[in-house]
This record gives sequence, structure tokens and C-alpha cells, in this order.
Amino acid sequence: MLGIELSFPAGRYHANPWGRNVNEGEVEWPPSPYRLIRALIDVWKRRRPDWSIGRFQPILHILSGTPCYRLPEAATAHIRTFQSSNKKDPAAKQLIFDAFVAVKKTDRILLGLKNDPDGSAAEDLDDLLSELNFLGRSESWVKSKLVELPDDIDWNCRPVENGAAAGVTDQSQVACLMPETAFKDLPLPDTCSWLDAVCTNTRDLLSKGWNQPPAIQWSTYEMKPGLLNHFKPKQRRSGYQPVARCARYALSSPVLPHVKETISFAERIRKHVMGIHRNVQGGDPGLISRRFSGKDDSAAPLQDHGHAFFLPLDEDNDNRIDHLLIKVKNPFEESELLALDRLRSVWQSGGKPDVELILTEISESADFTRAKTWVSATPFVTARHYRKGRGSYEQWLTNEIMRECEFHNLPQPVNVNWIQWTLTGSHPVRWMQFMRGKKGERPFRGHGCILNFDTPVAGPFALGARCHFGLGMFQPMPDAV
Amino acid sequence: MLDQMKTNQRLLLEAELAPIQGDRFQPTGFPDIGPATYQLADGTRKLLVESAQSMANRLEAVILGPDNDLIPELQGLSYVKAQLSGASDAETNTLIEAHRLNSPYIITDEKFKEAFQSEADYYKGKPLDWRKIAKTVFKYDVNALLHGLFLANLEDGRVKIPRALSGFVEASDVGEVVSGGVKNNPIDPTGKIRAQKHDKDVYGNVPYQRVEFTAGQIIAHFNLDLGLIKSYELGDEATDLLIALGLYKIQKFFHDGLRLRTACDLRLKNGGVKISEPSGATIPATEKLLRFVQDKINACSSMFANPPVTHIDTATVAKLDKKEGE
Repeated sequence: MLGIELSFPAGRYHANPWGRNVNEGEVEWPPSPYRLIRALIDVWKRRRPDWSIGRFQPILHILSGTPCYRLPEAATAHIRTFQSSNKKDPAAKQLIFDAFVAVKKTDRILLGLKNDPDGSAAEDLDDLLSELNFLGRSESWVKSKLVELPDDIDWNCRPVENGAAAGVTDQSQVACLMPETAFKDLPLPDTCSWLDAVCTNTRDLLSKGWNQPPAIQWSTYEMKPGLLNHFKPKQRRSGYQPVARCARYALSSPVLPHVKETISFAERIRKHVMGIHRNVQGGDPGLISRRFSGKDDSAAPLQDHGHAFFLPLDEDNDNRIDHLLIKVKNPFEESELLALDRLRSVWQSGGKPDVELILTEISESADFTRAKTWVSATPFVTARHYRKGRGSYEQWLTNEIMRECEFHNLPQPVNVNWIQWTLTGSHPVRWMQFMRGKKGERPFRGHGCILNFDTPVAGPFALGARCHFGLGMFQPMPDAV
Repeated sequence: MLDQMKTNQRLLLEAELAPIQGDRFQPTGFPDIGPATYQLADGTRKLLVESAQSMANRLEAVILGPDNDLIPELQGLSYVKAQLSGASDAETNTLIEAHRLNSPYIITDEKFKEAFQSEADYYKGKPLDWRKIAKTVFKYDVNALLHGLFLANLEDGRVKIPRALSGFVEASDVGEVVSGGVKNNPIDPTGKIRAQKHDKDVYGNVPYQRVEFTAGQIIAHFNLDLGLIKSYELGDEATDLLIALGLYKIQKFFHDGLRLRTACDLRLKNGGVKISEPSGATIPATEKLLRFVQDKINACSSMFANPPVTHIDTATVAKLDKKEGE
């Protein structure tokens, strides 16, 4: 099979897609056959002006239609510059976005051509390709040549009409050259030949009222996922990996969130951290942190409490959340730590100012305090429903607490005393005043208690349903620490 | 001297650079949009230290003297000088004008314009003859064939000559170094005490921050499009001149052009400039290249305008603002 091999010695491919403004920051990928053909026409006219149209036309036939691609992994990027707007004020410059696709200088792009060459057309095409020095913008250096390709190449970017390959999801529109047979069926004057149509410039297009060159054929291509903008995290050079299980933040805002909003605040933090982590991982959906999401690959909730606890704390007991703990059982990975480091602020609803988060501590252990007596700071909600036959409601609740302590590797409390409202804040807040479910969820019934243990227990900790979002959180009894 | 490389369609050169002192350097960038960083798919962070456009300016500048005129060593090369009159009495030339021959101070000169069009056989609606165009550009402004030319201001603006010589500098595995300081006013930090004749907000203490970079590797890349130069069919002497002049500019850039910005003073690392394609070719030393270029300038003297520096006089007027016009 005949093919074209392209490589970009500068490691960048700058090409604005047809029909898009140069300043939109869009970039064409894969390199379109239509652009390649027009570049070869330029090479022909400048460097082989003695060649007749009859000699060049067979090259068009080889390149027409919809070739398949073998693409390397690549990333889109852009550079911003200010350029003169020819205004009187020299400082009035226009911001220009120069978008490009970054590839490795040694990477090869293969185009599998479907049309067989006639006569010496293959040699002529190879000659023109060897003369091509840039494709797209002039800084988009290119090396190209004709190659004979094996038939069993795994094309990872193919036109849709060939049938979708397994796992193909990403799609793009590629500007191809319409075959001459199809072109002849177009209702165009006889004076406009196939070659003339390819050579049409923008001025001619506008004067004739066409919205695109008549010989262009937009084809939908499917690309295997992971080829574009799926960044692999860079390995640390030092190999140093801190062991960290807990990140602690101080909160700052003119209006700090109320303790009643604990669950919604924690939910917002989780969502925000997941977003930061997704960016850290280059947007790859396959690299989502299970520890932050709390879900497995099938989106089912994790069951072992190994995922992150987002615990908003009111340490100065004024009923406003002033600290945040994010803790996990096994140490954070590097990308997760990077995301935690980049967590700087989170928005608040109702026009309230953003809450700034200041990372104050990354620690190996999440246990900041030890105490024998712990009291509910947020409502404890049960993970199961009460039904008749499980004893009295209060006894059942106590059993649920015991059960939860076992799940969380805590010793069994020696006694559990149920209370109606918070005891730690500046004024009591009834459990029913708290938000007790995630957004859109029917609120659970909330309870609070004082737990007494035989031996000092490390914390803070949270028990029960939605404990990963700060419900069922306990803090040391102020007079019992 | 150039036979080994002339058989190829392009010449790719690269040279590894390093900060002349310390590890930090200041990249190109603008105060409010920052440096040009990007990331490869494998996670490598890259930084464009010097763009192709900026490098074109630098390569043009290496053959200019302090008076913005051609250095004496290269006297004999063709270019155009324009003496302005009227609103300005400045002197300019195609070596410093942003668009070279296309500068309105030059291409609007009727006599020059007619001569250029006639020799290039370039008229509206007529097919382009790139060889005649190249021959004419070579005659009047030889450097334009190396650095590109877009004659947008001439006739129907179809003459576009791409750069034969381009380059850029980029860094890999980059990391930011953030530092800062304060501009102190020990007299009055509040900035209220001002000079009587200068009432602007430039007093007081001003904190500032700056971002520099470190890099695992800084490499300057150059591309000399030999196929394009050869396609002009200017003859062996002129082709040799263009190639050698391009190489001389690259060598000169490394010799005295590596202080790109105040805090971006670079040096060539061991190994110097290497030709990565074609393999095995070597770049001659600067002095040797200069002598070769001088020989070729003499050999091509009949192809240049006579004298090689074309002088034109351009009358200028100051455009009035609408309000001033009223």
C-alpha cells in the first residue's frame, strides 16, 4: 500500500482549520489531505514550473478521496502574543492566539492512500514531497516522503464510512479532496476544472459567492481515544514520594459557611478537587482518582471507607466552618497531592464571597486529637432503616453506632448518650436544622450523641451515612479532652 | 565548501545553549499573558524561548552596524535605501524595514516600482514567473530571499516568498522560578510627596514579582530551505552566496547575539552548532564563511543593481487626525 510519511522537525504543527478564524485558537488535526495538496501545488509552481498540468494531474488522483491515518500521541497548545493593530496608540495591540499541535520531533504520521498511481506519478509525488519544507504556517516545518506500507497497519484515525474500529469515539471533520468523478457531477461551469477548483483562492470564492472551495470534501473521521490531549503525568525526577494521608486547610472568607451547610460544602470541595485532579491528569477520564470520587470504574460507591473523607471543621466553636480536613486510609498519590496543593478557593451560593483555602499541613497521620469522650458536631444519620423487630428506636440507634464504630476500626464505646442539639458551638443547633443529604437527595433523619470510650481514641472521625461528606462527625467533648 | 550539503533539500542545524551564569533565564513573553509554555503528550513541559518571527529579526540584525546600515565586511550586497523628506528626514533601508521591499517608503517609488515590475515580469492577471521574481529580488535586496517577502503593496499582492532561513529556540523540562522584590522610596513610601513638575503615580513603594525559568535543555534550531534556494535557478555563485550568507548569519548569531534579553544571556554549550541533516555535514567557521561570502559577493556583483545599494527619495506627509483636519 502506498502511503505518505510526515514528521515535524520543529515538534509543532501550526495550521488553522478551513473556515475558522485564525484567532479562535483552533488547530487542524490530523493534517488534512486538502492542505497537503495545496502545499504540493505551491511546490510544483515554485520549484517545478516546467511540469505540465498533465504531469501534475495524476498526483491529484493519488491524493484524492479519504486516506487513513496512523497518528502519534499529540497535544494541542497555543502561544499568545500581542501584535500591532496599526493604531495610533502603539500600546493598542491585539492579542493573538497561535494554536498548534505539539508532537515529538521523531514521531511519524502515516497517511494510507487508497488510489494506485499511474505511470511515474508516484516518483513525481515523492519528488514534490521531498521539496516540502513547511505545512500550514511557515514555522510548521515538515519532512515528507512517499513510503510503501504493509497492509496490516493498525490505522487509528479512519473515515467513518470504513466502519468504526473498536473503542473509537473521538470524531473530527477532515478536509479531503473530492475525487474527479464526483467533482464532474457538480453543477459548475465547464471552465472550472478540477485543478482550478483546488487552486481557488479566497478572493475568487467570495466573488463567486461560494462558502467553500468546490473540490473540498468534508469527511468525518474517527480517532482512537487517547491520541490527542491525553497527557501522561511526568515522573518526578528525584523519585521522592511523600507519605501523606491528610491535608489540612484553614478557611478564610468574609462570610464563612455555617456548620449547617457542612454536607453541601464538603460536596462542593470534592467536586472541585476532582476537577483540579482531572486537569492535573490532562483530562484523561481513565485517570480519575477513585479516592476522590469514592466510586469504582463502574461508578458504584466504594465500600471499604478507603476513599477520602472531606471533613469541614468548626475549631473555634462559633458555628462557622473554619478548617477542612481531607483524609484517606492509604497515602495519596502524587497527582492527588498536586490537586490538593492547587485547591485554593471554592465558591459559595447566594452571592456570598468565595472561601479561600490555605493549605496549612500535609501529614502522614490524620489523627490530630486523642480523647475518651466525643460529641456529635454534625448529625449522625443511619445507613440503614429502622423497622419493627429491631428493638426500641433508641436501642437500635445505639446498635448502629456500635456497628459503625466497628466498620471504622474504632473500639466499642462504653456508653452512648443521645442529645437533641449541638453542644459545641456558640449556640445550640438542632439536628433537623442541618442539611442532612446531598443536593437533590431526600434529607435523612439526624441524631446526635456523646460517646465514651475506655481508652483515648484518635480523631476527628465521622460515622454513618454520608460520613465522607462530614455528616456524623464527632469532635472531642470540650471539657473532656 | 558547500558541496556536501547542497545535494540535500534542507539543512537542519541545532545547538545546545545554557545560561551564561546560574541556571535561570528569562523567556520571551508579555507582562499580562506570560511566557509561551506548553506540554507534550508525554508530560514534558516545553517553553518557547524565541519564536521564529523573533529569530528572523535577530538574524537580520546580525549584519547591521550601529547605524542600522550594512556592516562593512558585507559591502557589495544589494539592498535599497530610502531618504525620506517632508514630514520626516529619516533614512531607512530594506534591512531594517519590517516588510523589507514591501515597505511603503520603498515600493511606492514609481521609478523603482516600474523597474521592479518590468524585471520581475509581474503584472496584474499575468502568471507568476518565480525565477524572474527571485532574480529581481536578488538584484535589489538579496536578504529578502533568505527572510521572506510579501509584496502586498505591489499590484495585486500575489508575490509571497517564504522564509528560506528560519529558526527558533526552545527549552524542555522547564520549571518556574518565582521571585520578587520592592522598589523602595525611602523619602516617602506613601508616594504623596512629588516633584512639582511630575505629578504621576510613579512614587511610593512598589512591590513586584518576576518569573524566570530553569530548563533541562535549551536548544536553538535552524532550517535552511536549500530546495527553495536552488529552485530560484540563480546560478551556482548566487546559490552559494545565499546558502553561505544564511550560515554566516547563524554563526554570527551564536557569536554575538545570544544576549536575548537582560536576564536571558545564553552561551553555546560544548559541541557548538551541529548539522543534524544531512548527517555528516559540518558548518564552516565564521571567518571562513565570511571570506567565502565576500568572494561570492564579488562573483555576483553583475547580478546586483549597479550600484548594489539602490537609493530612492521618498516624500512623506504627516497624516492629520480628523479633529486636526477640521
